Amino acid sequence: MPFRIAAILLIFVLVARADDFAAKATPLLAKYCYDCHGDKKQKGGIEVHQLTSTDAALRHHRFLENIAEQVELGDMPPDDEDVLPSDAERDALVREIRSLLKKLEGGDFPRNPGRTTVRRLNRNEYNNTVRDLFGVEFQPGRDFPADGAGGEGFDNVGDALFVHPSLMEKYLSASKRVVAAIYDDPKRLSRAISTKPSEKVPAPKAARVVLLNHASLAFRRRVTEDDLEPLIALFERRFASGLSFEEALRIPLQSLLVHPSFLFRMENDRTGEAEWRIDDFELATRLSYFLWASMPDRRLLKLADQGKLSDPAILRSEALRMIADPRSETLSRHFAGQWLGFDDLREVAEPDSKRFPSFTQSLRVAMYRESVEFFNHLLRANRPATELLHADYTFANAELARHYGLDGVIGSRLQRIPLNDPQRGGIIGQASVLTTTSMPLRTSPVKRGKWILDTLLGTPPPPPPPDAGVLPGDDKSTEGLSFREVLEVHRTKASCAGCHEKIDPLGFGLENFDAIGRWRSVDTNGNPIDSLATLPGDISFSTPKQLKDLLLSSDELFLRNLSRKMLAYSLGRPLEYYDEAVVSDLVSKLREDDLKMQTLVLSIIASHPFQHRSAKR
Amino acid sequence: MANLQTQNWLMPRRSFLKGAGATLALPFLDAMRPLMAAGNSTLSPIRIALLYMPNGVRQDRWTPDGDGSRFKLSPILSPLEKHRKDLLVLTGLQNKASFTGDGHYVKTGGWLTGTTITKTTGSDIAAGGISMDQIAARQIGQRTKLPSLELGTEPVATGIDTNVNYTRLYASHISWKTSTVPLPCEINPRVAFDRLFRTRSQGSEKQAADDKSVLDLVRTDAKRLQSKLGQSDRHKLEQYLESIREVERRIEAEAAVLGAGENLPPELLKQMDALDQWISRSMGKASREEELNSLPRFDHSEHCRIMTELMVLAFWSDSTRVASFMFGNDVTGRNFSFLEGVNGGHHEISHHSNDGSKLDQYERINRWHIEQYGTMLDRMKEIQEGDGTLLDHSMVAFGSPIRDGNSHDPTNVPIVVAGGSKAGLKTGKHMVYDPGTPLCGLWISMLEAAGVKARELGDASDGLRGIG
Repeated sequence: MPFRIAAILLIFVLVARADDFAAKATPLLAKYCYDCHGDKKQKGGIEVHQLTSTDAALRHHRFLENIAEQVELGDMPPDDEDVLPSDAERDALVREIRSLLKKLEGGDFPRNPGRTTVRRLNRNEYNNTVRDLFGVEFQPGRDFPADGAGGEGFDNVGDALFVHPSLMEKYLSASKRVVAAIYDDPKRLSRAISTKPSEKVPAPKAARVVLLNHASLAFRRRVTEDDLEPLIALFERRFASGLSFEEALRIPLQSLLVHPSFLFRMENDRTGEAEWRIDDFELATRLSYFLWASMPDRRLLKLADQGKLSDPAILRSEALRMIADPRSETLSRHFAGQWLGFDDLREVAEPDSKRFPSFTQSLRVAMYRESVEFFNHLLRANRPATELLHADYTFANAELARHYGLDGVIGSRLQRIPLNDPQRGGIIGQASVLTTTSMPLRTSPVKRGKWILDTLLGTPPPPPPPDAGVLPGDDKSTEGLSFREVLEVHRTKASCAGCHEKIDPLGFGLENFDAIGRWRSVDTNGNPIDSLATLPGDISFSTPKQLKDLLLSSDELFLRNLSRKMLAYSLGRPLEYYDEAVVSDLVSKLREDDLKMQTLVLSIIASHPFQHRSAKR
Repeated sequence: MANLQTQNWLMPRRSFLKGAGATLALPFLDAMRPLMAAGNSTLSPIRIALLYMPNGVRQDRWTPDGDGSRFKLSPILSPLEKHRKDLLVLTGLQNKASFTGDGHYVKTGGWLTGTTITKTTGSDIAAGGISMDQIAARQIGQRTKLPSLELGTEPVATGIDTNVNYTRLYASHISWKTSTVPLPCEINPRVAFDRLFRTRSQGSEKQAADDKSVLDLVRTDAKRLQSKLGQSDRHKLEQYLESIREVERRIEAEAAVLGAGENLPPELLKQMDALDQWISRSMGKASREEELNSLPRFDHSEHCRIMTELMVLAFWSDSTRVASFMFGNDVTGRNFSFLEGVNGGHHEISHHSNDGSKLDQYERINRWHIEQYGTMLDRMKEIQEGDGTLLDHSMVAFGSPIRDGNSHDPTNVPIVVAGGSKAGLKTGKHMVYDPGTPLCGLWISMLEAAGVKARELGDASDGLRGIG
């Protein structure tokens, strides 16, 4: 259990020599584990044959705690194996793994800021950037395909962002639409083409001013003569063919929106250096895509141009300015939405419309908005991170308040409302998460339990065995058993119980919330809800409030996971073992400052990986 | 806020289909004669379509009784009875490279490549090979407006499956342009229609010249910038450059067609017009919330029918010769309660635990997919082309990369191919192969029948016996 892991991690203080792992752990893994978890078979998707050295083990650190736990509890190897390790061997293996994890968290290894693969603007970033660049609001990229996720599960990871011909066609046609929108509106056009030829300013010179201006903004850096030359040449060819000044600029301007320096966030390499501090323009870009999912504004670019942005005090005040700006809502929508999964309300969640007729499209939107506004508030009002777990307020409009059984809210706009009932407040009680962790027709204690372990705490349970089977899709039982009883029968299988006794109770405690997040005291079949939950170690609870108290009483894993996720989102790359020490540092910073959300954001921006780049991954 | 559908850069759709100067790829007027299967004298090109069903089948209701030409269709396949002469049901095939990793991603990611995908949460996404449709696209796709078409109904699945440590991206792609570049499915029918059948306005020569100016400029700059980047970054720019080249090729092809004038059968134009209106009607009904920036919410049956009709018309107009379609992403939780007797999501029902009621629901979901497939075959059979029908000139495969969804069984995968008699396929049979016969053998047979050279694919170095 997470509670225990945290405790154990604090107990062991062991310093292993560089290849202690190869000497002590690898032979035991080879002897007892390779048959099922080696290069031939990977039961449960777990393979340990790559763990041949300290370095290899560090690189696969995500599996290690799981392995240690299974071995320690005697769950692995399974009892029906012919040869089982002795207690001393178990102990040795577990100790070796844990000492390695300790080194990992303490940063006792060569540090590396990491290297982010060049990032294409994802769909959201593209829309926001075009909006901020040219003031067009119509989301020219809305029909681009959705972007897949990499690393910690975010859609801003360079490695997982591809360019393919159909996307290129869409870039081309979107660029046409954007430029048409500018040219069709005289006001916009005169803003875009602010310098015109005159007696004093010949046309090529005026064009140069216009293109220099727009290219600097589009490329988010100082442009070079090499950048500018082809743009001006294209203008001149068109101008010479008899087109007006504005028309001659149309295609050069359009090409900025298809340009690699616009579509990709490129960071310069430095030959002969192992790592270096990124320049101020690169910093401005990292900052603005982290906080706004969009380009830096003119002020940031100006500071970068003056070389002032990397000054810690200025960087800090700029970050605070940006958090206060409405554009920082992208952190709620994309960071929190993808991390906590309420982003799935947009396209994926599909409650059955017959079973849940009150789940209207407007309710769907209100649920999504509730979580977005809640996270906005945590950030902008600088609330403690643990308020994500429990709060005595939320945001609702009339429809959502009715959904929650609350009176007195009118209108379709969401507003902040106090919550007197301690069960509801915090992300766990929000309809968005409760709905996205349910099936179309019923709640899923397993999915909700897994959401708490995996999404919230960052300790995913291992996968089910291939023949695990699944529960009925509907909880309208005909056999007199409650859904919980069906689930409990299901997990009496030895191969299931080991994990499910840790997963399911967390979901049982939330059974008073139905599949679209309404409070209920009886289930679909009219029987009273049994929400009593007992976790291994005799930890019992029976209400969402008590579950939240449990989580709050031991918040290390939660804070660590929040920090890890936000760091990953800010860097746009998968986290590596060397980032774990940065995560430890972020948690310390949070604790030193009453867990304030802005402190986390500011600490990430001030961190070594955020401001540096390495020659190697 | 501007309405995209009424922007003046787009000509009114109904008029362009009939209007002067409309430009579409010209069926049968291809300058180069298509490569044909040996001995085939028709001028009609051969097409390949691959229809993917997620989450496996109810295994005891899939395989026909009997083999050779004397077989009885199984309950799941029974909606295809009227097409039995055009069918090849294949039993005993598998993709050996998928016998590892997890129960879903490895199976789906490698379905058309015959390889093992890289286990990753995102830093080194790779299929391990090119998918068979993209092998075809490289060879026969260069003669049509689009080298290939990838369609689907669900957006790319986001996030990481932390249970098994794969990015969910793998669940949403079956077409791999290269080992490291997956091609996403277009799920918006309007966008797919416009991409296939839209045309350029009267000033299209100027438009094409402008497009070329833009692409020339950015290509030169991309090459210049690429040289300054590190290895993995350079690889991303290479994808960009490759995409530029393909778009240029398409612009050139369209310009060439523009010069040649209009030559589409009136019946095809009529049906395009009908599909155009169908999509508008259907999208008008579908809700799309601005706040959520979501895609239109379609009725799933209608969505699938529109997508299969798009493939039919794309083939008929020779806009492309290669298409793939994902009925859903792997592990899809799509609620199939719209079907009589079904209550729940597709993936959860596929984990039936041998429970009778769940097996029955699983079978109904499978049969529904087969019905959609059957409708597509009906349409292709109606369309006369050269000395046969469109179906005779197309090989349309339907399958899933696992058999029993409950156990994620990768052996004896469900797979059926229809059509292709003019490509030399010997249909009307249930072929039973030795267990373990490579699925890739079928892909090779299909490629060869379409005139595509493909000596080796995955674990196969030869086509299947007895089908061609």
